[in-house]
Amino acid sequence: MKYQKLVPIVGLLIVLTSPMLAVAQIEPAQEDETEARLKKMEETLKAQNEKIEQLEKQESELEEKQKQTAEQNEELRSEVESTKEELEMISMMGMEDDSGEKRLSIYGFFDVSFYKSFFEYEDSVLKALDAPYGTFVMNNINLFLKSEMTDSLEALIETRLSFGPNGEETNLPVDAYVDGELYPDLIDDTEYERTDTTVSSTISGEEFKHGSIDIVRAYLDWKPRDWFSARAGRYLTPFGIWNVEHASTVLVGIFYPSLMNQRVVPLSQMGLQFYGSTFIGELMKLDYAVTLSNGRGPVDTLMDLDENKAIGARAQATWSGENWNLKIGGYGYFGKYTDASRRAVVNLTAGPTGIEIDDESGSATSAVIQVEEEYNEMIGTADLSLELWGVKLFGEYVFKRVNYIKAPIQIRDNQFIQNGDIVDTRYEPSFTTQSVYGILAWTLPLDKFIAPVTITPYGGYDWVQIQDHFDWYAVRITRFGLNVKPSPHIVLKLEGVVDALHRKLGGTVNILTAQIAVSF
Amino acid sequence: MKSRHFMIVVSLVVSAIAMIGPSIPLQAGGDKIVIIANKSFKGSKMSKADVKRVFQKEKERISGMKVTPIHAKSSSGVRKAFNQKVLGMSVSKEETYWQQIKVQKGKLPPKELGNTLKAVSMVRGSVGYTFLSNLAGKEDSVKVLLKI
Repeated sequence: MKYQKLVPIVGLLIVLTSPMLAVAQIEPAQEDETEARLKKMEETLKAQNEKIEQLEKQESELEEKQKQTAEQNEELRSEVESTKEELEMISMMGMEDDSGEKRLSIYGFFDVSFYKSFFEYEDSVLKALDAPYGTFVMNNINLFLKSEMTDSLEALIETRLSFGPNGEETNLPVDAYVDGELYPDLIDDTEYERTDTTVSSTISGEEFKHGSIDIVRAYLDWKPRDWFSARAGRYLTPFGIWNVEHASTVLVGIFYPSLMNQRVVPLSQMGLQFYGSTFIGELMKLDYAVTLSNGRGPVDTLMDLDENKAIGARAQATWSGENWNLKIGGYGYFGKYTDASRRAVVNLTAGPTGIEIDDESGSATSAVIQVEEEYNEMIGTADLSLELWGVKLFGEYVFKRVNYIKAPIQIRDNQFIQNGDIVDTRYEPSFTTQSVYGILAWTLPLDKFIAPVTITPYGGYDWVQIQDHFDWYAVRITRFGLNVKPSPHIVLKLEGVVDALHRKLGGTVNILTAQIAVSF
Repeated sequence: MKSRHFMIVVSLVVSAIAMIGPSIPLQAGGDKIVIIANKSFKGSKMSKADVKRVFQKEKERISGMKVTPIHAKSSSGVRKAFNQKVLGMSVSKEETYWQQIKVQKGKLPPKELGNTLKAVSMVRGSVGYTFLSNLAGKEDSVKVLLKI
């Protein structure tokens, strides 16, 4: 088509040259020559027109070819999409077979934090207990393995990778000054101890510090009905909100509430759990859980050191509407804690040829289980969560009563703080622990402007009375923070904490923390 | 005058955002969404509340049978419409919800597929959704539980 532009140019040439032709007519001698030139120009024009037609034809053919190629591309794209869908379909169909090969999922989360403490007193004892300088820390590196073996059988393993126990301070000695004079062994004659896990590679000699793995959860679920399921293994105790949510990518704040830090309730248990849920009408849901486990103990993940099994029960009611959600729940627990040491006994007798095994008075060998510490604990918890138009209010309360059957000797530091002296025959009295926290968070209504980013400012209060007979053994914490989610997989948090402790415990400490939590 | 110009500029920007913004692309005439189930599904209807519970895996069995929810692709129009009409949350908010449920309960989000109609017709116990217009001529391949 573009060669058609030449036509007017050629025409213009003809018009421009026509006066010259006219002059040529006046001069008969040049007539033949002019005619010849005209003829030649006409031939040139004809040839050009033919060329233009040819080019137009080629262009048309090219366009046709391009169109065909585009159609072929579209067909190919469609075929690829179709194949992809068929593959997805095969994958879906794979969910129905019993091989379980395609049912394993791996996911997890981790967080990186920086925190800096500001102590009320320059010489605060908290500098010996808390990080005295600003520091980066990775608190959680959790990996999940989930498998759905059949329609009703599932397994879940959650592990927490840790850089510990390297750097764990296993003993912080206490130096005593009497009227300014140092008596290093007056209260504590032990030495400072810290775990070092440095090992060398056999071949290269390269040194590295090995870490550890905490098995947070590992259980099998049998789910024949929504209203009845059974779980066997190690599971999270189904109490409250924080313990069940527990992931830094899910939790609003950074610092754990005191009832979690103080382990007022055992956070995990080893044993059985029965649970289920049912719906009542369009709005209400009821959940229950019954737990039967080893209970709390020094080695409860390995074995129970008494025959008593801990029992617990949870009930939760949830009401949900268009833009609101209300949850009320409670958990009760009763268990016995036993710490015991074991030893083997061999009965011997002095015979004529020397020491002999004495098997005349019953068994020659026996075992002794020596109970070192024993108590019954009774725990009650209550939790509430209310969400309304992006505003979330939630909190938990815990009450625990510990009744000693065999009390241990009171912790030396506690004795000294309470009484100003240390007596080896002073035993821990039975006690009550109470703790409560509440957090108010508001996800700002900025969906229309910055979605999917969410910004949630929050604030909260936390109180714990660790042992009721020590009036100084209480902590009050106020927190403020900002939680920003630039994507569902990343959470950025900034939190300020005012941790008010008794002067005997080092006074108030203010902590500023920033955290990035990532799920994958 | 300045404030008037400012208002005009703001109006133009807001209009532009409204035009560019993430509107829910419905098919011609604001097509309805149909909740569909595999032929093996026990039951012939489902309430909107139960559909939400199934897709949030709060309800995993119906009449003793395991229910497998199948989502449309998160970028598709039908998914966006379903999320708004049934789940009451955007796709990104639903993703945040699943991040929470995965670590809390170990439950995984529903599988996402391009052709939910075909998938539901093939996978036993599955429940999905599509636009009503997509169902034309294929009504016999699935059970229709609800039209929204």
